[in-house]
Amino acid sequence: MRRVALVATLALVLVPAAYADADPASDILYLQRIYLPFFGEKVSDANAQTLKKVVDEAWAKGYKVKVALIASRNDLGGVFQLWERPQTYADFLGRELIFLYKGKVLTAMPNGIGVYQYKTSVDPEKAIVRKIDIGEGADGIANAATVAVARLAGLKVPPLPSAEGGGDGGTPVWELVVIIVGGLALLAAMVFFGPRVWRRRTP
Amino acid sequence: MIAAFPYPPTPIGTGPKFHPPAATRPVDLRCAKTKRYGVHLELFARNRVIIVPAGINHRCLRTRWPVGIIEVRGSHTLGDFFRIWGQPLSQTRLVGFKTTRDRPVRAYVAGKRWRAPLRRLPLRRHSNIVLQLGRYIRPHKVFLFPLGL
Repeated sequence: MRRVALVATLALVLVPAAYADADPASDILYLQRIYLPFFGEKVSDANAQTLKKVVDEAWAKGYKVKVALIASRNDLGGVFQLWERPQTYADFLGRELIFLYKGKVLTAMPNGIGVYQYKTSVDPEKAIVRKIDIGEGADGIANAATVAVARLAGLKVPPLPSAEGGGDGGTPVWELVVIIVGGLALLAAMVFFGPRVWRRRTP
Repeated sequence: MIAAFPYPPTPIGTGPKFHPPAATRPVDLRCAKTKRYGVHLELFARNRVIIVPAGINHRCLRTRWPVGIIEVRGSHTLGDFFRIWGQPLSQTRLVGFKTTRDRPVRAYVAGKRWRAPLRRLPLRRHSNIVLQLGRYIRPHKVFLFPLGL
């Protein structure tokens, strides 16, 4: 009896209370199939479309999978402690969605890919995704997820767009205008003042 | 189990009460012409997540994604947000849920309990606000926002 009481007390002390929901991906994935990062570096359109096409093909084939791309710590919102822990985050995310979705959940971060399915062993899937290389940036993560979904669903891996085009959507137009105008002003100053300075220095 | 999975998650609830629709009431508020900043709001009832919808679109307060981020322009309160949304918020009501005065709706800001009236809670830059009805859910102290918000 005393042992039972001790175990119960330890359980109360050791098992943490449920944590609040604070990861943006769960709030997006309960409705959609893909969570694209938008808290920091973003995925290029071409890479996002390629991933979407493969995920849709997988669903059409009966292989249900939802994908969360986590490109920065900020994309985890309040559970940023799970940054660079893709498997733990897959377990976490899958459990948040259990009342709405029980298919596979795939999480991709710069250092790896995690897979989870409620009450189902995913060891074979983990072995497959472990072998996938992840390229640089958000596009590299998107491409790795595309390869992962294609391989898991038994689809042909499509040609992958460049992983160099990611980032924050490119240089804004106003920045280009500032650069061009600034460059022209500098050139004009050199043309106007350059000869005078040259003449002064020449003995 | 504990070592591998240190953050037990709270599942998203099912049914319309856990997925209230977006709405924008024409509430007369003064907005500063300043840059918008982010506030994070998490809602829980009966140990489940209530989704704060995207599409609440007032010039002072808006939600563009269903992730609990409110974009704020000016100085406003939680009461202002719920007035715009058109959802109840009081000691005994949280969106579509009701409770009793002896088990009131609880609010936490950065993990600390807010004991003043809920509607007066100020929406400060990068606040993490958690509202709960029913079982206690450990509130996060910090939320990381999108860059530039």
